[in-house]
Amino acid sequence: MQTINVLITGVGGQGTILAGRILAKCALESGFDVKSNELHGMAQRGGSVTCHVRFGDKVFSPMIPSGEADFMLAMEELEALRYLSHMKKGASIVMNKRNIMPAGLENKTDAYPQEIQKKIEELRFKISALDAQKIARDCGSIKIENIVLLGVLSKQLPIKEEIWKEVIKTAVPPKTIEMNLQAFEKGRLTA
Amino acid sequence: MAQKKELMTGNEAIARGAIEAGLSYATSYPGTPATEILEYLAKNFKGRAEWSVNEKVAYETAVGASYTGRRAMVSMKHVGLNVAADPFMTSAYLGNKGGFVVVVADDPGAYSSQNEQDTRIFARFAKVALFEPSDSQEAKDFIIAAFDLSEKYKMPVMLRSLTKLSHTASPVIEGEVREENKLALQKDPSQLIAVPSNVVRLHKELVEKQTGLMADGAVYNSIFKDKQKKGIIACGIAYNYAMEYADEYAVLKISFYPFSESLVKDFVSGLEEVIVLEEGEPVVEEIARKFHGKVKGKITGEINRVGETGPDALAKYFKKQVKGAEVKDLPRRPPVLCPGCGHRELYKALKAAKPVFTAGDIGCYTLGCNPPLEALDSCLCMGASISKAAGIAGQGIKRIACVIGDSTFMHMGIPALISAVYNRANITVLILDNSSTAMTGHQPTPLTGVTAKGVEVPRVILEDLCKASGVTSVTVIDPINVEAATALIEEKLGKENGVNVIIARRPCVLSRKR
Repeated sequence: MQTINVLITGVGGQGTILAGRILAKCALESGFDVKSNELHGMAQRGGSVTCHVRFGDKVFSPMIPSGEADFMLAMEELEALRYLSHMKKGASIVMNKRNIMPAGLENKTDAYPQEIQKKIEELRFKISALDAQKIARDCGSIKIENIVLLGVLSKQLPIKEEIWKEVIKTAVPPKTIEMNLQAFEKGRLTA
Repeated sequence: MAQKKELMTGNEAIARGAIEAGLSYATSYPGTPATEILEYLAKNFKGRAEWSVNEKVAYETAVGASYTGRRAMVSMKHVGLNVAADPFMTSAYLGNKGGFVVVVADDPGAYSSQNEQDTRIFARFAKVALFEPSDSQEAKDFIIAAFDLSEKYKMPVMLRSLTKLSHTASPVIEGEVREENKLALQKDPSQLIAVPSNVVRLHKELVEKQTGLMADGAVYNSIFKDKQKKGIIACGIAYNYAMEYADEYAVLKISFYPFSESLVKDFVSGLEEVIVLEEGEPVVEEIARKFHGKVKGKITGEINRVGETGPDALAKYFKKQVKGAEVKDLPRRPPVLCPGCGHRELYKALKAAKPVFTAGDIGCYTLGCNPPLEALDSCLCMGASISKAAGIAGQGIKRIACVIGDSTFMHMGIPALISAVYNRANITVLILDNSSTAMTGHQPTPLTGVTAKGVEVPRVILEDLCKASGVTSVTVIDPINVEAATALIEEKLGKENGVNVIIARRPCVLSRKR
């Protein structure tokens, strides 16, 4: 199988890296070769975070060559826009409808790009946009929006539902397993 | 049955490799991208794994451990090796008894570093062998090979990681854990004492070891050549980038240094064109140029001379790079001091006190150089703030301040402080004490009173340390009270009575949340 390239983007603290780890583990458990890179130098301090996950028969480069990402999971709208140049023509984007103002711009809300979803559609990407934070809140915690989004993305990837669930169970704190599985399923249903 | 594969980052694989190799002692000082090596060991290795106060101490402690016949490893980021350069250079002469491996993680692109230096040149300078893995499995395998080689040649062996290797997870097959070496501490003065009567002989022995190292390391460098007319020489991680084009291009994979130059000579002969792909300096490119007229790379400008080479360099060169839809002029999302961080309040006070120049240092608080704070005027290397301030003030310029974090102060600030006191520098030293090494993920320090393994130990008291260094004026404040802090800094800046230390103490907000 040709390598599948998934770019996960977000803001420090959103669970971007955990989402990448879960996806990479699922790919490994499905029998694929995997490479998963985390760029998190200053992530903890509200910076932009990306995670490159590549899987297939044999994966060489740890980074997705620019213009070759097949899928994007964007935890935040501006971060979806920022990394469009990494995407293949017509690539599929799962986007969280959430705006986090960059530090220093809190008082200049007009600096934040408007109508991002429309912009992305105009550039002819396939986009599934949803308020994952709301779904996550309904499941019990806004922190698990990353799992909701993975649920949406999971419908598009060649990884079995059981594998996703098994991996999620081992990746999240034991007390939150039920909540996370529910979030994952709700994500799948919106897809 | 196929062996079970685990996903491991390069750093985890390095640590796991050391455990499998029969490690007895691991040391480090936190620094991105190498930090997680020691963190993995502190958690998963039963033996000694510790944070030293700096890389020089970490290096020397590991050397000492190897003198007992046991296996030891020190890990650090690239600039850490500058700090450890003194023991590093001479330990190559003196060698070790048990295997001794030096892991250095470079940061091409300077994602979180003050420079882009290439550790391969340092290895060549010291005449020690260096492995350069391309993925996590190799990182683990090479660490084990490095320990064996180090024991065979009785010299340190290095492994170079990179940000993209250290922080990329890929499948690893775990192996058996070898037993520790037996304790065998013995005196060996003609070998272990670097005095003039020994060193020239020891240097000769080091030079003589090179031929053997090249021969033993040859298996790690391989050629993938069929009938291709062009070739790529790819070092370490760049092997992955080259293999994306292996149908059209022959590939020489370099994973071990030093290598015999005939390897390169044989590979390039008969090829129409050769591209050299390596992260860092054009080390191998320079060699290839001796044997082929059409070598493309960083010297000739086809590959960017600076910054990270990455997967796109080749695509760009082959004009195969796909340009996606780019949306320009987006607001940046720079890293910032966290909400509630004490550093921000201290910087407000410092700015209000109007120092003429503020020498900065390395840590979270370096972010204070950015708008809107713009409170720092320089940042050079670990511990340099106090010394730089002393140099400026020594020219008679008044109101000179410097800012240093608590972990950085322990790392390299203490000698600078003593020197400033001794030489009667008129400076105000602000020690930003958040009680942890916050930038790299809250590793403890001697001031925290907890070891890497979480064992509680007596704390070093910062104010006592400053007083013992000869500072007569040591004041502790909570920076949250900006007005009081401003008044105090103003008062101290106005004095011309030597070194004044202000300790701005407020635990890191992130560690308080934990």
